[in-house]
Amino acid sequence: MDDFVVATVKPGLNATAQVVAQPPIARLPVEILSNIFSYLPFEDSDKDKWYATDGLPGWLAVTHVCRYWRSVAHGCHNLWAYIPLDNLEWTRIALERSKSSSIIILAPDHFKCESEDGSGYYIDAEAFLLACKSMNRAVDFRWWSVCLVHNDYFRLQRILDELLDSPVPFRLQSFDISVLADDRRIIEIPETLFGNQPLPNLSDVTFAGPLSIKTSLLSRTPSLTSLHLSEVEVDAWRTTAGVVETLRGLPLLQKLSLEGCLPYTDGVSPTEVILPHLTTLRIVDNILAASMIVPILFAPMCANLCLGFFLEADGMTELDTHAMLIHVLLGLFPPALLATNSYHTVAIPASQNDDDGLTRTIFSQTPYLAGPSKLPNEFSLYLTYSNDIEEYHDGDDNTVHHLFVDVIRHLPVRGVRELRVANYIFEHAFNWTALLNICTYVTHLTVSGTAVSGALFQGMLDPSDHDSYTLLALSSRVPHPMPLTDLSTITLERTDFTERRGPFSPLRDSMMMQTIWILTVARKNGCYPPFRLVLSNCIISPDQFKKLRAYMGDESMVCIVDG
Amino acid sequence: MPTIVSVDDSTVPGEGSSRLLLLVSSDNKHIVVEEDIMSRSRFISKQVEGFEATSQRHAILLPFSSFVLNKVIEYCSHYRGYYLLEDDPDAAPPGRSPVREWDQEFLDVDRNMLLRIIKAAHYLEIKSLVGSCARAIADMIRGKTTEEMREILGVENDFTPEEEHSPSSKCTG
Repeated sequence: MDDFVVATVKPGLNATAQVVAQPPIARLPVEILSNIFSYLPFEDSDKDKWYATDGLPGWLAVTHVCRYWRSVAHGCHNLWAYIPLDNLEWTRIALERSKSSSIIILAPDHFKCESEDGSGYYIDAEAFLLACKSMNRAVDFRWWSVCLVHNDYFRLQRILDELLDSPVPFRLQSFDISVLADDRRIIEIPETLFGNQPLPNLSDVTFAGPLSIKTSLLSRTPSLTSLHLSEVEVDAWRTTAGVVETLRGLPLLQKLSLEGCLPYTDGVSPTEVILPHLTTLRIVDNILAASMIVPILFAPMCANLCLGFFLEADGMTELDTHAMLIHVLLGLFPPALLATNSYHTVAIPASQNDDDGLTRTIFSQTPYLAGPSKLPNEFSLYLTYSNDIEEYHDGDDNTVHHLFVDVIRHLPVRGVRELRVANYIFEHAFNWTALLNICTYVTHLTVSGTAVSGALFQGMLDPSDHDSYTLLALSSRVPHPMPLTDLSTITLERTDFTERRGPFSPLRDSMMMQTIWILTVARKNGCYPPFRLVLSNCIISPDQFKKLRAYMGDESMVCIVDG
Repeated sequence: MPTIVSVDDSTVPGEGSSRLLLLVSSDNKHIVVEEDIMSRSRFISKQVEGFEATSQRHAILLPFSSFVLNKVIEYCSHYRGYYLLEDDPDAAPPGRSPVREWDQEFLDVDRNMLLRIIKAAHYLEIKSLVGSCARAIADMIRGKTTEEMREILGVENDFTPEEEHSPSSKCTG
């Protein structure tokens, strides 16, 4: 510090005075105030704040605060870039003040205006038509949850017709149309939408609602990186070849989301589609998608394994879930993040209620699976952000199958060397044991924020009787070969040992506790090699810690404390 | 304007390869910081460049308090070595990027502090910090009535009653 010698200070500087006299925000520099204003318009996460409570749109309200704000706001083109469609006057103002800058045309779904017969929302058709005249400036078009009643079908058609007339090339980057209709009548999006022009900038498209779209519309969007279809019919998807053809035309696709869009299957084996950039595949409420889309996409993408690949399957039948899990867990995506938020228990049809038969069926439907020989010898398996898979019943409701066990016991994952289970809740302790049994050659087991409940051994024996407990456990429950013989490290992260449902809860039904206990005792009996236990960011009581240390021995226990 | 004062090239070795800068706050606190950390500030970078040839060390006098300056340094330290698109003078202006989680916590301060930080960031030409602050302030006033906006940010209503209540003004701002 002393080496910096302030030699001279220019006269006139009174920095202290400047700070004391901090100007109020009204006198913030124009650049800062403009910057603040540019963040004011509608944001996806903040729909309810679009309108101020005095009924003015947020961007209009700032012009009523003071003269300075008004003058700054008038010159802030970004503030007016969001074109509302529910009030002709506001539409006109926004179009005018946005000058020549890019605009976003949006009709959010929370508009309070009611249609003439009092049902649903509507947009001001005149305002929309006015906005359409500036479509050449639009970079984003969002039209959400437009509820169509009665004659509104014709209104939509008229508006779409207007879109076709624009002579200027579109700058659109994002197009989002979401329609709700009372009677589910399907509205056909014309093939000539956007006047047959190619859409070189369009990267993000959403069609949602009872809409029918022509494949040729998508074929004019080669730059598409995100496609979301919800309850939409795609004309070409009545054949396998049509699905393949559509996806082939979208080589840059990164996100594909299908909600209730049923690709038809015509019995023809799908041809491979290479989507090298795909990182997210989301299939929701879609019965046939797993057997149709997944095989098309998964096999060729094996060559382009992506660490961040995200697969979401929700609202499907167990059959679909089963198929998808097999695809993922089979190791086609060794490091895949499997995100399955919830599963619905659905009765498997009687003809498929034999689990072996079911699995065989799925394998036979997935010609790209060549079995264990295709898998690498060593890889990591990650189960993340998932709930345990519910048990399901067969058609007669007599037998309970554990889908998780059904799936993993068919998996050739014995080559897994590193198993990481994070944020995973095992509702059935048996599944936890089954997983460990499958992963025979795991050397590094990491359990992070994971809970196991249920009692595998509860009531069967006295946990304090180590020898009989271990003997019984090892002899009756652990199949041959014995699991985890190569285990060198168990890592527990973000685990609250004091929680009842924690994986190392002091209760007897804690599976992690039992796992460690069994292994420890077995190790002492010479069955297992020594392994290290690493605790990282765990909450543990002194008594629990003492007990654990007694099990493990000082030298094989490492605690990493962070935070 | 702040004053940049030259100091003799004394023998303070910088730690590692980064040189040291002396920042002097308006409350006359001297804060030594590695040049690397402050390289996110275009203002500081330009000042340092201007003195590169002189082989002198520089102290930079800044018109805000050490409390604010330390917050800015904390921000710059956190993102040291990170590429942020907003701070790249050669990059196209970024669109609406998602809020950075750390920024949200960092800017969880009272209104006056937030205003001081944004002004300091603007002065130092740290666009990413200006953007994060602007978003935070916009979040404070979004959805509020004009009167509430005035209260939140201490703005005086200087419209005449006629201007305020004129129908055309009410509609169009």
